[in-house]
Amino acid sequence: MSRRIVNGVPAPSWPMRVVKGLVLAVFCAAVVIPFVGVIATSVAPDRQIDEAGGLVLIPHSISLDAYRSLFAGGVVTRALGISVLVTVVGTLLSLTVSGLLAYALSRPGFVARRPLLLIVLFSMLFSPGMIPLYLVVKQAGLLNSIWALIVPTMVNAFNVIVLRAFFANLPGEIIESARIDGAGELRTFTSIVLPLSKAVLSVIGLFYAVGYWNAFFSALLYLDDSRLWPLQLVLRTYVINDTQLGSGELGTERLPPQAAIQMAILVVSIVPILLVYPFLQRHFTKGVLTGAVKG
Amino acid sequence: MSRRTALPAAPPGRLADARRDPTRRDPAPAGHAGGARRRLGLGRRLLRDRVLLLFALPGIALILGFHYLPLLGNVIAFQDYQPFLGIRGSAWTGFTNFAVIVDGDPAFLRALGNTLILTLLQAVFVFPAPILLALLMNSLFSERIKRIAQSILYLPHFMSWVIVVALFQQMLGGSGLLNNYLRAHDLGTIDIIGNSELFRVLLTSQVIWKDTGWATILFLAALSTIDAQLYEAASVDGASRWRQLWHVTLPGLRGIIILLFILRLGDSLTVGFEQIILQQQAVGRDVSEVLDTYVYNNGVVGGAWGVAAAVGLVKGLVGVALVLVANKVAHVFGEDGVYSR
Amino acid sequence: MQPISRRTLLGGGLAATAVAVTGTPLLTACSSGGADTAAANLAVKLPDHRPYQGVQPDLPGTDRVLAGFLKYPAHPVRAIHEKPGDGKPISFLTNIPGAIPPAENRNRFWQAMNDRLGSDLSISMASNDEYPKKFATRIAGGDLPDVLNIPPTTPELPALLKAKCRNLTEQLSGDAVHDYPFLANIPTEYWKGCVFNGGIYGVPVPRGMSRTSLPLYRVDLLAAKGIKNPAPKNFAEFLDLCTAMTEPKRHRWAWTKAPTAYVRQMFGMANQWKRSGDRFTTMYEDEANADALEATRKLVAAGVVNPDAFGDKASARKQWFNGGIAAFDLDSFVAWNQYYAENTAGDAFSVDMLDVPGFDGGLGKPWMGAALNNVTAFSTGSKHSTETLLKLANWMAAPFGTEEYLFRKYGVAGRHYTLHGSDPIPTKVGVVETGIGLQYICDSDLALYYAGRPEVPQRQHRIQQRIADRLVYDASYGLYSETMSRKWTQLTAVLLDVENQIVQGKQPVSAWRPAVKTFLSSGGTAMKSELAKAYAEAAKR
Repeated sequence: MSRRIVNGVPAPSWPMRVVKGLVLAVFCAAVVIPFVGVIATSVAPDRQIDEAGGLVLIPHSISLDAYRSLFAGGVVTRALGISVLVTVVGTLLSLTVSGLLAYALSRPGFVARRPLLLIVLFSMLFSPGMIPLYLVVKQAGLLNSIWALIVPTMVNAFNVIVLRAFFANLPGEIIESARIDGAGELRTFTSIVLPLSKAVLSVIGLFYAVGYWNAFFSALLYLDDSRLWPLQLVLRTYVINDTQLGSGELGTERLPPQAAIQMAILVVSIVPILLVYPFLQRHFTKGVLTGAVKG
Repeated sequence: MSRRTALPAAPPGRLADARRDPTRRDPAPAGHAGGARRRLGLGRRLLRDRVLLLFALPGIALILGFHYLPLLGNVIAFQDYQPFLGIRGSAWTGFTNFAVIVDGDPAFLRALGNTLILTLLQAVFVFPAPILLALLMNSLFSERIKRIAQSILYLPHFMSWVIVVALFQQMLGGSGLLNNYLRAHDLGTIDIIGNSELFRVLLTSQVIWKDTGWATILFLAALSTIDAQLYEAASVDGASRWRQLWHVTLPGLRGIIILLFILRLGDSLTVGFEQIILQQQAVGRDVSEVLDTYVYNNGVVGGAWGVAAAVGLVKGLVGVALVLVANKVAHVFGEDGVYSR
Repeated sequence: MQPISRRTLLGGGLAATAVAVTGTPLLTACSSGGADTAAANLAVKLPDHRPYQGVQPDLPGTDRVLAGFLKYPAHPVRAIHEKPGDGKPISFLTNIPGAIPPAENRNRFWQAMNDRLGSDLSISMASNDEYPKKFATRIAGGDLPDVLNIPPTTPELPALLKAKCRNLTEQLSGDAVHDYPFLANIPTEYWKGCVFNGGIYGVPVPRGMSRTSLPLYRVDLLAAKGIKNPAPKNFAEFLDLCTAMTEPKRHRWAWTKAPTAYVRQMFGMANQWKRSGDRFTTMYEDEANADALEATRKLVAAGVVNPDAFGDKASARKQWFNGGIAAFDLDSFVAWNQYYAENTAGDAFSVDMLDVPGFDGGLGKPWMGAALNNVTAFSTGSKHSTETLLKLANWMAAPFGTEEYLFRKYGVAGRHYTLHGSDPIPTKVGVVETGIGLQYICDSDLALYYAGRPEVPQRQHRIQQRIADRLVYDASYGLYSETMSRKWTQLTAVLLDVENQIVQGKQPVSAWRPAVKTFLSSGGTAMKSELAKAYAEAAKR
């Protein structure tokens, strides 16, 4: 059997491929089966869910009641818009600020490199209390504005440190040669460093985006007006109370079981990420550097 | 192909070699020649690096403002803090809040012990999992399968722990799908959820299930920066796939692995609060109480904010010590760690 | 700290949740009654109880049994003619038990309510679990809303109220309360929990009997096994009943949870705290615990409890009970109604409640539910007059049968409910829009009623009458102990953990005694003496 060569690497032998395939298949199955359950439960008829005790793998019939009751009243739709806005604006700002900081910290002779790096590093290890942080946010005049969801978490120390490590390991000659050509720091950063760092930028961007997308606690503390609440906080009121909708003290018209709502919530909150992911995935599942460097 | 041409594309870690080259050490920024740099006074150097300082300013300002400034509020570690009295009105109690840590309360020691065991399990099983998975995916022949597998495996990261715990229970619990099937077919049952002996295994598996796929993306990004020409060169030299893994791929990942390991070490007294507190009742505190749940159960529940702050401070100090030591060790072995020397 | 805590549940909403968390049908909430000195508190003249006569129930209530209604009165009386508001917006901070409702601008119920109040109510909400954190930060920030739902688990409650909230004694004490007829309609017992620092510092959100918990059972499932009107006469018969309802091969277990509290009631144990003379003891110290835990362990070992029951999630219990996976659940009258609301079994679905027998025969002693869900207080810094805020509370306390109640709980006819005869049946929109947390500003004593199912209040009334004379109260209600306010929840959680291990057979019954010893030495003894002192001072008067 002739071996094909891809990217300079010979294709693996058949036994290896079988082993790898098996490992991957088992791992994927462990994820796919529960997810099938999630989707099936979100559309399964109420009676079936109750009788199954919560999780359904194959629904007898399809019912979209859980989704309908989630979107009834427009609360979820509005929150979805807020979340998208916060995520997009926040991620762009975060990447800019963190990228600039990481770049400065990656420059070998930078005068304040070490003290600033330690400031960033230690901020990872001590977390401020919930109440003092609230007081700072209040003093900064951010209460009841969606900036409260962005500004306090705009810089994440972990992300800065990882970015810095990648920047620091870019080929020094390229940066030097740009300098010799008379490019300032800003131009070196935007036209040399950033294009060479697409992979890590997409990963860190994704980290930030997911951070903004999943955040609910700052909204809980800082936003009194529920019209400004992001999706995750709104959805959380369905899951975390661990009770049905409605006050429970009255007879009410029946709503879909908690399990169906929970699973529908999961689906709703994952779909936007599913839509964005493939575009970013390209950048880090495939080498991008080779051509760029040589050019 | 010469080593020189390979260098530009070298991923994190590879360049450690290059930087240790004395002629290349500390290439000065901002177009200044390396040699003259050392003689400049601080003022001149600040002036020279003003653009870089400007770059760093917004990020540092945000960290100082929203991290260190509220961190001052952690003085409540030395108070019997009551929110309605505020820091000014609350009574100062010295080191009383630290008593839980130093007085050898058996419940605290139990929590510390459990935390350390879980930290060890995570270091051994959870930490390497995404690296192995990334290597496996990277070695996949088919780009399409690689993408599909990756797109499936990252999904569980987006489930909250509430859902993950519920799903595990409904699949594997005593009245879950698996056991219902076994029972209906007279095959006996397997006690997984709520089994105290298996609890640590369960916790570890849950973390691996939830976050391994997601954590691969950073390693995939690092792998993507390894120059394909290095592989070509290696295969021209007749290196087997295993040798390539050993001599090209792993060195390419070394820097980022060490970096992440050190950062994780700084956090080693934190082992997953929410995941554990959700499952604590079923298995009991003997195996499930960890530092964070201990602080929660013995402080936060009774409104003892000071105790929570005190334990937080100590955890932070331990983290700082661990990170600094680990970083030093990395330097001894010629690695960059979090920051270079 | 981490944001989530399944255990810091407040009393809001479903008592079931509280049961799930504390393992007893009482919230610690209820015990945070008293004040800095009990003597001063006793000096306060509690508001006169003047029952409202405008609505006559079908099933009369007593001081313990709740009044029942077979259908909603056909012509609800309009009980309040003046708008309570002063035209300026009133802010309110509360937890809510369910999903977040549409905001005021898209919520016709909220808008209609603002019209009726004559002031716009702006409500900031947090879910039950997260409310204590929201509350603590708002207190620390000093920017308090006009009306505050105070989590009953808040430590140092008297000092907090004194520092931040209004003393309402002048407006409410004795017959002064008659200016607010529906606050006067709230039985005196509930006001005891609102007295702190020698004054009345809030209005009660009463629960009491409606939160009394006993085994709820699925009448339809038992009937399918040929069991009608089950009434076990002792523990052995109870065990037989459970065994009859268990069939693991078919995915059927009798119980949603280990009914430890029920077994304890068979032994006549205390409802948290018992007073004999001037000595206070907890239920945990009772020697009978060894037998009660052994008996519960036997139940679990017999396999009658769902094997996943110790994860103890309220939502899982509900699913099992609704789906017929379990035939018994230990819960309250509130949960009883909720089960009817949520069941998917159709018209056959039918629930009733077991009485509690003595362990070896005779009668057991059921535990009275926690008196209060929470206390609602008014901020000192509010720009509204105390009279305005009390009028608001009065409006929220209009009882069952009035037109105000119908609106407050069910909304606007047509949009939020449809009338079947005189019974309001909530629509989906109604359920979503009305859940804005009004019941935590103030509430009337609950009435037994289920729209369209008159047999529900009939059964509820019957069991309440049967158990009324045997109800055991928590002796600590209305007495303040600082150690309790800080440590009760955490220390009893440790005991619950040991209890869970014992009934699962993971630890021997003998592990109980040392656990109680630790409980006493790390705070229990202090609580006992503080309660005794508070009681003694009160008794001197």
